[in-house]
Amino acid sequence: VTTPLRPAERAYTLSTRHGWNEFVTAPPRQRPELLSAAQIRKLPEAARLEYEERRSVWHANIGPLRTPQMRAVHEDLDDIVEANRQDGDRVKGAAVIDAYPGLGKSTIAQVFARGFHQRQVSLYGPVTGAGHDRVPVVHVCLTSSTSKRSFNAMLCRFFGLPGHDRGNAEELGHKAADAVLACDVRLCVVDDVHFLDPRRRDGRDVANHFKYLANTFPVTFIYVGVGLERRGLVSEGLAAGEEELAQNARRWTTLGVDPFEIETEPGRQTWRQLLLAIEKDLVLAGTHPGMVADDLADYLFARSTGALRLADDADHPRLPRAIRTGTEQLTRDLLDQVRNDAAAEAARQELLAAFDAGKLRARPATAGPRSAVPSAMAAAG
Amino acid sequence: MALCISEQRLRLVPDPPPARDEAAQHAPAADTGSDDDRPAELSAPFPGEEPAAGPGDFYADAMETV
Repeated sequence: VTTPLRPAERAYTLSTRHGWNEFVTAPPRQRPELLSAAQIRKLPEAARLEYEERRSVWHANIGPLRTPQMRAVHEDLDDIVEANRQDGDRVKGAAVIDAYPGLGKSTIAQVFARGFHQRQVSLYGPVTGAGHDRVPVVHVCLTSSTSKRSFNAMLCRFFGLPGHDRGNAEELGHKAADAVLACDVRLCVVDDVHFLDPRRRDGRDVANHFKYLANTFPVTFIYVGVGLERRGLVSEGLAAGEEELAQNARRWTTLGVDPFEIETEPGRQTWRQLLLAIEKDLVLAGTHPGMVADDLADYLFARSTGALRLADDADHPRLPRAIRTGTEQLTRDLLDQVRNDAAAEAARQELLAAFDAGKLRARPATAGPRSAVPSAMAAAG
Repeated sequence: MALCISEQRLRLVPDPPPARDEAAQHAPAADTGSDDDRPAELSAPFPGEEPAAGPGDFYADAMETV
């Protein structure tokens, strides 16, 4: 009797305390052993399926990578959190990570919050002075219909409080506040803030509620979203009736996340460092040094227009195809078979034309000549 | 007697681990099959140290996974 394989995916939600804890305490994944094509072919069917399953989950979870963008935002967040260590009656500043989609801003916030959580528990222990579980970080994701009441309900749900969806906005707010204070929460990550519409009353209510929470609790808020300045959530110049939000703007520090660029040599070197990290983690029998970092540097930049979310996305929808089709390599032909997202497709054609014409290059000059080393493992197969 | 005690004490004290430079001086050359006849200990990391990336490490510049 064979033992069924345990699913390797970690199916947690970061919007509950238990899910967040799982994220914070999860050990690093075990990289599957790299087998040659011949070794894979010789595996019994069940073992081959298991090997492919392990590789599939591994590839889907490559990263996150400490990109220069992540380092820069983390340094700013450190400054903001450090400056917020006044007593609870002082007004706290907040951070806003505002960037276009696909640049890894949620990942940047989560990795920062995970490190913060680990340090707090390491310093002060897993239990508060009053004997409650220490919960240094709260993480919630807004939805398109978030109101003040539903936001408070999300906070209650994060803590797993009984009756987390019963009561009016104030009652739920009090419950959440008690939990925040009892569990020594110090950081609150609010993702998808772009769902708030400051032109609507419920959107303004929630934004004002953020101000109230920041005034009331010894907590640093990190808001994450797309186009928050453009939406008026973090701008001083607000329309009539939205003036109360201007106070948020003065207390919130906006942090951007730039896409990768290849206009400069340092930019191309950074792009290569990113691709090297991805390539290093691939478990494909046909891989060879330079398969991604050299052979696909131009192509991947064009494909993603520099927004390749390789902080947590190694173009991984394509990797199962490389395994399924038996090519065991990432190639331009293989990637061409997979639909790109619409936003990147138009720009891709333009950039590819520039690369093909030699007007643009993504590889740094220091990378040397392109590798022509065939895969020894593939050759062995 | 004093000398005996001294010798006994000397015997009782375990040899201290050699310092890195000392180890490099006294270690026999490892047969690596290459022209590089430096002792292996020269390049070996101390316990707890990350091994340094060699010139042949293609992925030495790769970004760190967090």
